[in-house]
Amino acid sequence: MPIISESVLLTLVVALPAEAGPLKDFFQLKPLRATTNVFQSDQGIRLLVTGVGRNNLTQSFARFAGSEFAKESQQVSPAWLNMGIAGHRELAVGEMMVANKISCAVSAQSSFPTPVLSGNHYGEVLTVDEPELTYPQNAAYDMEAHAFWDMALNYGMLDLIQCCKLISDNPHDGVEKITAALIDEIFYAASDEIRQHVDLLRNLAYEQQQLISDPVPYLEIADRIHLNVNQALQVRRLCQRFVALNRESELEALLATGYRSARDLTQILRESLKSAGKVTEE
Amino acid sequence: MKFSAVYIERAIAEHELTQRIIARVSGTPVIVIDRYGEVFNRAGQNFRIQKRAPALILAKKHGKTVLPAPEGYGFEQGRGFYFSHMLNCLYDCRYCFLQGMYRSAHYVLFVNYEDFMAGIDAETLKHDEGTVFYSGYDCDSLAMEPISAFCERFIPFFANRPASILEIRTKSTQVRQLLDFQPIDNCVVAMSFTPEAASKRWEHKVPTFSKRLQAMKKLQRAGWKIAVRFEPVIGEAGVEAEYERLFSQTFSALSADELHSVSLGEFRLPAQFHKNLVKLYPDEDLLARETVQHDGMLSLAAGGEALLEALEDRLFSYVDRSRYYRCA
Repeated sequence: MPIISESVLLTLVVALPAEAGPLKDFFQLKPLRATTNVFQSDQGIRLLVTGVGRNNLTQSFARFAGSEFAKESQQVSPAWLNMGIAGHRELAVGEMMVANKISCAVSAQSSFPTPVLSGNHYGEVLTVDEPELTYPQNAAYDMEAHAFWDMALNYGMLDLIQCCKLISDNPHDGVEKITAALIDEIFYAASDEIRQHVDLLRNLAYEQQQLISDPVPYLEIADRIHLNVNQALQVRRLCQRFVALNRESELEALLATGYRSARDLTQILRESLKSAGKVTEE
Repeated sequence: MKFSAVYIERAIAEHELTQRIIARVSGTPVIVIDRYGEVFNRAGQNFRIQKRAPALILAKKHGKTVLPAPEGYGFEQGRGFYFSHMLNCLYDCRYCFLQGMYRSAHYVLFVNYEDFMAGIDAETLKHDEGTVFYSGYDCDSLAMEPISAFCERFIPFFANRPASILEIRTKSTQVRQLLDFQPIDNCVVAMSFTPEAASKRWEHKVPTFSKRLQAMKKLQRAGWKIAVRFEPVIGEAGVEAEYERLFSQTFSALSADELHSVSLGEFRLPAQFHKNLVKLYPDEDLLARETVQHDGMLSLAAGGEALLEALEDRLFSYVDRSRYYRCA
């Protein structure tokens, strides 16, 4: 498993403090300064507790995005995972379902998370505004998932926005039986599965972050000379090419010889790659 | 063959081929959608992430099903067309333009083969000079045969249309279905080969060279017309010797005199696709190499005309020139 950079985050989103409790425990999450509903670990996991329903979720996202901390933070969160309880007509209490379709009962709109996570059960999550007591469809009924999807799209990578529901009620065990203790129990029982999903998404997020991160030689150059936006893009890709071609030592040597300007540097790097690109048969 | 999910367009949910495929992938989550665009090629999707666990999308092809083939795409035998009953490929070749063309790595299979067949008949009627229909432009036509039943349906169709030629482009060894049929004269199975080292390095999940060669040998022995596509040629030091070995191995297993055609074609792709590939694989050395651009197409600076000519010289010691064309 790769060492996960602290600058790459997976953000967990839950509605209830009772859902947050076990997750804080699993991932050693601590309250983030100046917030009451955001928790974070030094292992690249953040938790946002939104309150129940679409409106609360939307407002929580907006509040957090506008907070001083979020504005100052250098961290990015490509991966988002909505966890939480849901009712289901057929699944037993405690079962986990990975969402492969998220629908909104009010707008009748549907979205389809990329099938990245593996589980025992897959299905539709149907977001409703009032608790569903009769489970008319073969879906997991919740109150936030669709709003979560819409909001997370603004911040995360589409393929890394995921949703899993833990079944808390069904026709045999109704919503009236849901207690904080029950939620605690089903979250702890699913802890291995939750960790697997979190690990997978974090690894994917890390890999993606690695792909867009700046090559080290480029960072050194950018520290030394001023590059305008266009020059920065060119020099960055040229450095990336040296690294990909396994010619880092040659790049170091070229940089050590000195250059007068960004334009000069671009020219030197380009010429060097060009001359090596013309391979002739011996 | 495993898929992370199967998406089915509502309009073709009851289609006979859809029903057959669903029965074959039991246990895989099935999700009904309205149009395949809901899950395929959406803005923000990432080919590389999706390639880890692609889904199968069963959809209906609307509009034109058969399109004119690019000039120089195949061996000249008449008016050329291509049709794409499938988008994306089981394999994961690092040089493949599909990675740059789509943001999504899911496989889209258009199950309304009857509309493709109607499109083929329509074009055939329009052209007296004979027609060639290429399959495998946006996919590998054989690789998913147990699911797609492509040969199962299209070989009998072309058997009844002897004036039209079907060319199947592939890197697959899924030839069992073809071997179950009597060979037909107007079908060509064209296998792409690169030297073994290049294949190991860039053609991920593709069957080994020797297995593909064996598959071609079986087809040739059974009486099928086969063709060899030495594509894409990737110029680098020592490549001529690698091609010499590849030619020697290929033509010691296959009868060169009975081949339908042989071609060479260099690694080239639209500049925008190359740009997209670089974003997906910035650390890939093939994509970091020096390129030259001509009419919006990128190719490697190493190689080019001189290399192709040198390879052609070597190739002609095995194959008669009349069977050769250079892929544009």
